Amino acid sequence: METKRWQRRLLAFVLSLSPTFSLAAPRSFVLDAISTSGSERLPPHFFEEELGLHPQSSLSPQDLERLQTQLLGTGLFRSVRLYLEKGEQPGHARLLVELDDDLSVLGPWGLGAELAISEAQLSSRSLSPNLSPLGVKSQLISRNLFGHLHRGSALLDIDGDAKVRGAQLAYGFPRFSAEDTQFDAQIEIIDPSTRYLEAGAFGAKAQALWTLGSEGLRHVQVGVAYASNQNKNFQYRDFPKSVIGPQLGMSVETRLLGFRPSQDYHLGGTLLLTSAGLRQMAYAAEGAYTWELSPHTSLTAESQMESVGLLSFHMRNGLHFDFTLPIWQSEQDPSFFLQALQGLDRFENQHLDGHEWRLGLRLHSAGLIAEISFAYRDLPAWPDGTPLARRSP
Amino acid sequence: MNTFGVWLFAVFALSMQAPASASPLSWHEDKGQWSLELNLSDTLTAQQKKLLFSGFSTFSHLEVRMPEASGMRLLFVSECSIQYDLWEEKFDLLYFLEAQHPEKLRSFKDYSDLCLAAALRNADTLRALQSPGQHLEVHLDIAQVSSEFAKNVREWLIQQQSGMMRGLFAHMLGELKMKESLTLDLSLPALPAQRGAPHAKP
Repeated sequence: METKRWQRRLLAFVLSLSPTFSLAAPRSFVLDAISTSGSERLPPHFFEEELGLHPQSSLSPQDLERLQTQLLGTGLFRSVRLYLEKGEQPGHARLLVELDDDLSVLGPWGLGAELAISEAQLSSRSLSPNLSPLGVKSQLISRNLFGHLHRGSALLDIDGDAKVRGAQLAYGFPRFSAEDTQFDAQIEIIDPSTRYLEAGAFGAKAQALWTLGSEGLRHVQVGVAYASNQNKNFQYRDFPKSVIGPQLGMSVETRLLGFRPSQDYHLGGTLLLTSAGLRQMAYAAEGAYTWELSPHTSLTAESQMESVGLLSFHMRNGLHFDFTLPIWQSEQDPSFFLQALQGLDRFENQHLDGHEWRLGLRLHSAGLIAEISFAYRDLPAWPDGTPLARRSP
Repeated sequence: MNTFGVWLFAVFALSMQAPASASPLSWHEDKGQWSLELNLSDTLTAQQKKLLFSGFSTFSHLEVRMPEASGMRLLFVSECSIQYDLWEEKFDLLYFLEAQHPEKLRSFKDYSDLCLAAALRNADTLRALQSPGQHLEVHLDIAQVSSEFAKNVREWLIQQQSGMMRGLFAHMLGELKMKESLTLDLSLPALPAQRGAPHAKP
């Protein structure tokens, strides 16, 4: 005990020699009450029940710093400010939490919506009366489902004949920024004969994955995945109609994927293990890099590869050039984009190769993203010349 | 109300307006040495002042710049971290960029004299500042968190974009608002006509 007191005195003496630092900070206090202002996105009882801020509990500056990061990490607020007011008794204080809603997501559920309309011109060799040139894709996304931080997303892609060509549903458990584990589940269905460049080896996928933050921005994913290839146009001999099994993955994402992604990169890879052995295992890898060429222009290069067993190979590559029109000199300025996409599929002696050029305009206002684009699409044909969407089983 | 009444009301309203606040810039002379001094204690926004008295550690960054043909020239920079002690009603200095100020803070005046103030003494700079049309740009950021903390929060946001929920932040317009900023474009006050004043070169 005596040694500890002596050490403390020595520490105080050493610190007193430094004119720029003092032992000012850590002072715990007893919480008398908590009040919030500026937002109704989280219910009043949330702070007590979920964050453990009970009246009469003792709080340290570290507890409050954690509270601030947890609230900022929800993505619902632009700023979180904390103020203390002296309480009735010595060492007691009232905590005021001043929140500033992020107005780029809507309402208490933190909703964002996207509507994309595209008109495509098909190349003559794949021209088919079965394909409608019009595509309407709509997505609704929430960061705060049920007002309790559940996350969800629903996407629907329909063509000009009102036929559903793609759909996606995703759900994520509530998660705070300071936690390093999250759970997401997703179901995705795509009609590869009309949305060839958006589909890989399988037309339907379902995944339920735990994401574990290992170090920095690296993640390890563990869970179960199911992939299906029921479209008769795309069934090859020895290619599995469906696979199910445990999935392992690893990814690094260093970009903040806002309306305009920040400069940096993404790398990822997954392995879907199946009981059928190496011949039917699914391997996937993806990478992307975004360059900020100037304050108004950026370029993103993306590549996705998928392989099933050792015989098939599927690849999707894209280049996306974005030019922001400096109309209002604000974050809400619209942007033009030019996109080049390429799809490549190999299975034994079968080869498919498609391309697309797309020119579009994107607008962003108050949680809504609108996109309109025109595409020139060169869909592949089967070796016998049959268009992709018309091959008989 | 007739037109005359409207004009009379407007003149009365204008005359009742508070006088313009004094410029935060002033000239000082000490033993023949002139300096241009800046103190932002009366110019802080209400939100900035509220943050300083929040009871949490608060970081300030002050910059004084002068426009030149080649861009903005940085004349002065100062950074402080302080914490207001609610119970003892005093400021504690946690960090100060310049090590040569060993003062202990007690009052808000002590804090503003140390962290919200600047003094320009270089004779060449002072002469350059008196060129016709010249002005100073003063920028003050006050934040409850450090830039390192803001970087960490951004990383946590990135972490939440796991593969399946990738569109989650697509609707985010800009960066998080971590600081309260104040930018002033200040014209120089007239230099008192005294001997030894640093007049502009002809």
